Amino acid sequence: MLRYITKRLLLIPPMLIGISLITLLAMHLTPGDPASMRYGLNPEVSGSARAHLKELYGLDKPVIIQYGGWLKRIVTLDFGDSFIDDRPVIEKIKERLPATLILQISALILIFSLALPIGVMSAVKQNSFFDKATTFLVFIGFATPTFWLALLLMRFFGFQLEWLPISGMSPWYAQDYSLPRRILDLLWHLILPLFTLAFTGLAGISRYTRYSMLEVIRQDYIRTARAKGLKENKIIYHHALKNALLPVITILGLTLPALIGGSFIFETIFAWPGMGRLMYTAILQYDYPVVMGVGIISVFLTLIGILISDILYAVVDPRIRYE
Amino acid sequence: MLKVRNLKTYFYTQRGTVKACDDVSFDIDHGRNLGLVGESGCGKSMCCLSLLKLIPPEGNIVSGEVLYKGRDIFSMDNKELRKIRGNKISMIFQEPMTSLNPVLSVGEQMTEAVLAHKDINYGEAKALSIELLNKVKIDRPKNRFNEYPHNLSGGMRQRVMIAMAISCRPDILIADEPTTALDVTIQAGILELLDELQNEYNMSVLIVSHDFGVIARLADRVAVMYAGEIVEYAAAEDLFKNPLHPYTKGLLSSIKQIDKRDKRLSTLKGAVCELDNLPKGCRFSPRCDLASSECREALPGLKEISPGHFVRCVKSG
Ligand SMILES: Nc1ncnc2c1ncn2[C@@H]1O[C@H](COP(=O)(O)OP(=O)(O)OP(=O)(O)O)[C@@H](O)[C@H]1O
Ligand code: SF4
Ligand SMILES: [Mg+2]
Repeated sequence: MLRYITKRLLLIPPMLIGISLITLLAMHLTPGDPASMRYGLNPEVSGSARAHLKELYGLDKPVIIQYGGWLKRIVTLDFGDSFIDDRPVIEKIKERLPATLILQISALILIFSLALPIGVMSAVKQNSFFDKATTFLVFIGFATPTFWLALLLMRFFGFQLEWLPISGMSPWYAQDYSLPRRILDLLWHLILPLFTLAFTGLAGISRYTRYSMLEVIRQDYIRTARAKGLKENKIIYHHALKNALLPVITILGLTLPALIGGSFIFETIFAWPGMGRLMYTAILQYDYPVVMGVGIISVFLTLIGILISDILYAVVDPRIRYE
Repeated sequence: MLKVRNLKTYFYTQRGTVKACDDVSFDIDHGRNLGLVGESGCGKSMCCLSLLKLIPPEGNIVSGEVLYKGRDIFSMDNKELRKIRGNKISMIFQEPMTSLNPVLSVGEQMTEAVLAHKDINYGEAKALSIELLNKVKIDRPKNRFNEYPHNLSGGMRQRVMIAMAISCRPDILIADEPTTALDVTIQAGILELLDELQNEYNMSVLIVSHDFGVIARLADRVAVMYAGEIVEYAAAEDLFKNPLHPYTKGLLSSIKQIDKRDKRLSTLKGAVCELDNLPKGCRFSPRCDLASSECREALPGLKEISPGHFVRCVKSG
C-alpha cells in the first residue's frame, strides 16, 4: 500500500510540469499580448514604451526562458502580480479558492450520498416503479441545461417567493456577523447553486452505480454469499457494493478536474466568487500571471484529486493494493 | 432427511420454455451420499440451486417440494431460509475461480459464514476458521486467513469454499461439480478431502458430476439425469453392475472403453437435446438405439423395476 502511494506521488511532479508547459504554449499561440492589451489602443504610448513593458515582464525573451524563470517562482507559490490590478496572484487565488471548493465539494458529497443509494436500489429492484421513476428524474436532470435551471430557480425562489438569495456568497454586511451566523448565511446562499449542481450532476454517478451493481449482483460470489445464509442487506451493501464501487471511483477521478476548476458560466450566473470567474476574466484580459497561477493550482488540486481516487481504489480493491 | 418431490424449474425465454428440471424427485438419507450425473446442460446445477432457492432471478421454481426434516424449504420465509442456508445445508460450486468475493479477505468470508449462524465472538470464529483451513489442508493457514482470493490457486479456492461450507457442520453438503474446473492432478485430492470430511462430520454429500468416475468414488445412490429428467435412480452398486436405461448404459460403456484405451470413445451418438425444444415422447429417443414408435408417443414414467431401482424407459421391466 505504501509503495503504491509513493509510486503515485512520484508521478505528480512530471505531470505538473508537462501540463504547465502546455498551458504556457497555448497562451502564446492565441493572438494578442498583455502589452498591447493594456496600451494598444492608447496612441500616447509609443513603440519604445511598449518594448520597455515587454522587457519588464520578460515577454521579449524566448518562451522557454520565460517558462524556466516562472517555474522557479512557482515552487515558492510566487505567481507574480496581476497585470490588471498589480495584486499578487496568490492573494487573488486565496480569495477565490475557498468559494469554489466549498461549493464543489459539498455538491460532490451531496451527489454521491444521493446517487449511490439510488443506483443500488434501482439495480436491486430492477424495472420496479422506483427504478423507472428515478431513471426518469435523473435523466431530466441530466438533460436540463444548468444555466437554464439556475435562472428558473432564481426567478422562482429569488424573485417571486423571495425565499432565497438570488446570487453571491456573502453580502457586505456579513463581515459583522458572528461565526455561526456567517455559517448559516453561507448555507443560505449555498442552497440554490448546490441544488442546481446536484440535480444536473446526479445522472452520471447514479447510472454508473446502477449499471455496475447490475453486473455485480449476477456474479458467482454473490450467490456464494447468499448460500452462506447472509442477510440480504449485508449481501447488497457489503459484498456487492464494494465491488460495484470500483468503476464508480474511476468516474470520480475523472469528474474531479471539472469540479475543482469551477465552471465559468455557473459561477457567473450565481455571482459565485470562485476560481471559474477569476480564470474567465483573466483570460479575457490576457492576465498571464493569473491564468497561469489559476491553471497551476487547478492542475495541482486535480492531481491530488486523482491521487485520492487512486488511493480509494486501492483501499477497496486488494488486487491493486498488492500489485 | 431431504426429500425432493416433483421439482420443476423452468426458464421462460424468448425461444420457449427451458425445462431445466422437470419433475425431479430424489431422497438424501442421513450420512449417505447421492450422486447426480448427466451430460453438460442437462440441468444438474439448476436442480442443486433450486434446493436452496438460489437459482438466477430469471428462473422459476414452478412446482414441487423440498422437505428438509419434514419442513418444506419452498414455503419458508426468508429468515427461516437463511437459517438453513450455509448452516444445515451448504453448497460449493462449479467455478472456484469466481465463487469467492475478490475484494474481501479469505478470513472475512470465512468468519462471516460462522458468525451468521453461531452464537460466538469474532475471536472464536477466527480460531475456528484457521482450524478449518488447516483441516482442508491449506498450508500456512494463519497467513492465508489474511490473504485475498487472488493469492490462491483454483484448487486452494475450492478448499476454502469447502472449509467455509462445513464451518457450521451442515447435515448436507451440495457439491456441484467441485472438481470439473480443476486440473486432473488436483481433482483426486479434493475428492479425497470430501470423502474424509463426509466420514468425520457424518454429513450427506450431494455430489454432482458429468463424470461417472467421480460419482463412483463417493456416491451411495445415483440419480442419472437426462434433459431435465431423472432417467435412472438406483443404489450405486446396483447401477454400475446392472444399468437398465439405454442412456446410463451408453455413459457407462463409454468409460469402460476409455479404460480399455479403445479408440471409439462413445457409443452415445448425437448431442444433448435442447431443453427448449424437446422431442415428443421419450426425450432420449432421438439418440436411443432401441427407440421404436412406442417410445415417441408417450412420455415414459419413472418405474420401480426392482426394489429401489427406478428407470424411465418403456423397454425396461
Ligand atoms: N439464465 C438462464 N436462462 C435460460 N436458460 C438457462 C439459464 N441458466 C441455465 N439455463 C438452461 O438450463 C439448462 C440447465 O443448466 P445447468 O447449468 O443446470 O446444466 P448443468 O447440468 O449444470 O451443466 P454443466 O455440466 O455445464 O454445469 C441449460 O440447458 C441452460 O441452457
Ligand atoms: S423409452 Fe424408448 S427411446 Fe426412451 S430410452 Fe427407453 S428405449 Fe430408448
Ligand atoms: Mg452445472
